[in-house]
Amino acid sequence: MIDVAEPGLRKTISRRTPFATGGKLRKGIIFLVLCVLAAMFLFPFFWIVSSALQTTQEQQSLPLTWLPTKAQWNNFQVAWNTLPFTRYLLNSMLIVTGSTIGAVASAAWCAYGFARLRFMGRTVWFYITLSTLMLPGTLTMIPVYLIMKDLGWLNTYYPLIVPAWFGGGAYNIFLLHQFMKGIPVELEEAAKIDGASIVRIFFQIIVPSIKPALAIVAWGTALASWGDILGPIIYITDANKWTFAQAIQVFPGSMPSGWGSQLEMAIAVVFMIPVVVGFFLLQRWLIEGIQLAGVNR
Amino acid sequence: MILSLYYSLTKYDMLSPPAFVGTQNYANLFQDPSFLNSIEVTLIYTVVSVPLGLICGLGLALLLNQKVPGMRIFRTIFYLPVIVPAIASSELWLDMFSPNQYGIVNTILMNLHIINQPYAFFTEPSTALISLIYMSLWGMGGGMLIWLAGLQSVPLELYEAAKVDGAGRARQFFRITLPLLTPTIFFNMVTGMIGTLQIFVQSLVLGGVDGNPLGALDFISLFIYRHAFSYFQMGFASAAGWVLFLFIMLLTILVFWSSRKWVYYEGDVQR
Repeated sequence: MIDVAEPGLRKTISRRTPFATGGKLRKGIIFLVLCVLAAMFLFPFFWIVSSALQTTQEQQSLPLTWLPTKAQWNNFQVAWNTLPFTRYLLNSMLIVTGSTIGAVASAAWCAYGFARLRFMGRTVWFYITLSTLMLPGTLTMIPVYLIMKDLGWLNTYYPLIVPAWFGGGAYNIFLLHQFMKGIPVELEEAAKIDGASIVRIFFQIIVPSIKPALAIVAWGTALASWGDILGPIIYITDANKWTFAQAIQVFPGSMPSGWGSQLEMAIAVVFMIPVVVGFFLLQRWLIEGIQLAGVNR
Repeated sequence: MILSLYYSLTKYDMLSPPAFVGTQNYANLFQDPSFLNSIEVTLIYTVVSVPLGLICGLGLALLLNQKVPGMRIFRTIFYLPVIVPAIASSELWLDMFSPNQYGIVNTILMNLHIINQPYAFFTEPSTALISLIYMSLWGMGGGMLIWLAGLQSVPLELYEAAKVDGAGRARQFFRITLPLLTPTIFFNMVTGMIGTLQIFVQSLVLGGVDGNPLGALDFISLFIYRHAFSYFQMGFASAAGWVLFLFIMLLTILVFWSSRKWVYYEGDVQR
């Protein structure tokens, strides 16, 4: 703090953050603006739940119903039974679990290799891996599809799970690599002197210290896999094997008569619940991790 | 990748083996008005929605950085839409943006007397893309988080020094905050561009496999998907994939190259 005699000046200088402590009025206005914006951001969530609980009549009469007079919880049941959604949910869970475990395990191994092991052309390989970030999914999609076809994997879940086991994606490797670089090497060297193998160091030193990063990778992979429709619509044609997301995409066309879009909304709500719950459980790690990944660049 | 380059030079319908046709696919591509249209749509979307998302995300982050009560709660609220899977958010917005009085957004706007006629949103070629851009702003919380981290890493001493020198708020922002945020701008810009150039799910849900209305939502990714998996023109689609890839490469290199001129890294000062 600079020592200034004049009291008025001192007051301005001692402000902790640049725009932080303007007058009470300023803060009040900003708070109000934030509230309005928050309401606008939350409105779609309100609307999806509200319309999921309306009757068909409420949906199709004017003026629009903002809140259903009586919440139609039955809508969820009707929507759920219109298509075999229980099966689709199980299918999706299988794929999400398989690809998430694969992505976390293999991305961690690859990142460990890039961060700690010395091998020929390590840096070059690392950059090559990173550059695949720019590859559009639609470019690799066609040759990958043809390979999967040759393997006889069409209409199976292998194309949706197995690729995750090969490195788990460049972004994940990059993220874990950055975190591993932050771990002090001394610990590992001590362990090496004590005769610990690379595998043991990986599991007992590296993995415990990058748990938050692993959570981010797991979350990102699970989220992508849960919401993916490009993969399923290319590979899965058998209606019994559809994923949840894929079924939602065709759902508007299979609406039972006498029902309006409240069923679509109800299914979309169900589809979002695991995502929102998961987010709140992992929130602290996720927000910090995402910020760290952005700043580390 | 190499395989796809090879396919892009062939005519391949998956029934008979690939037949080599040289650069015929590429020539056909650039004579196909629907491909040129998809390039245009994709470019417009990228050029408008990326800067718009950057500015709005930064604005949001600046507001959140003011030490007002409930900052964490606001941060969560603004971030929440980002995690909603594109398939769910597209269906939701399609419903909210219904083109008649049954759409909630039309109802609100008409009650506020902002518009007199229901707005067409996704059903009219001239408004579909604008609506999609508007919808994409709902997800600006992702960029906001990174802006926020960037803002918090700006050393406070700089502002105090500036204040002693009598610099006003606007001046502080343009002379201190913005230059120090350039790495964040760069990061958000590159990731945003790569994302928008590959937009797929939204266009499929909102516009179907043809990118309706009248190709207004026909993005390159959708074009590739349609030709590969509806028409089984694997070679032709591969060629389109390569054009998209070169596009992304070119734009990324351009941004990286120009970044030397405007991105400021603290470690670089001594050089």
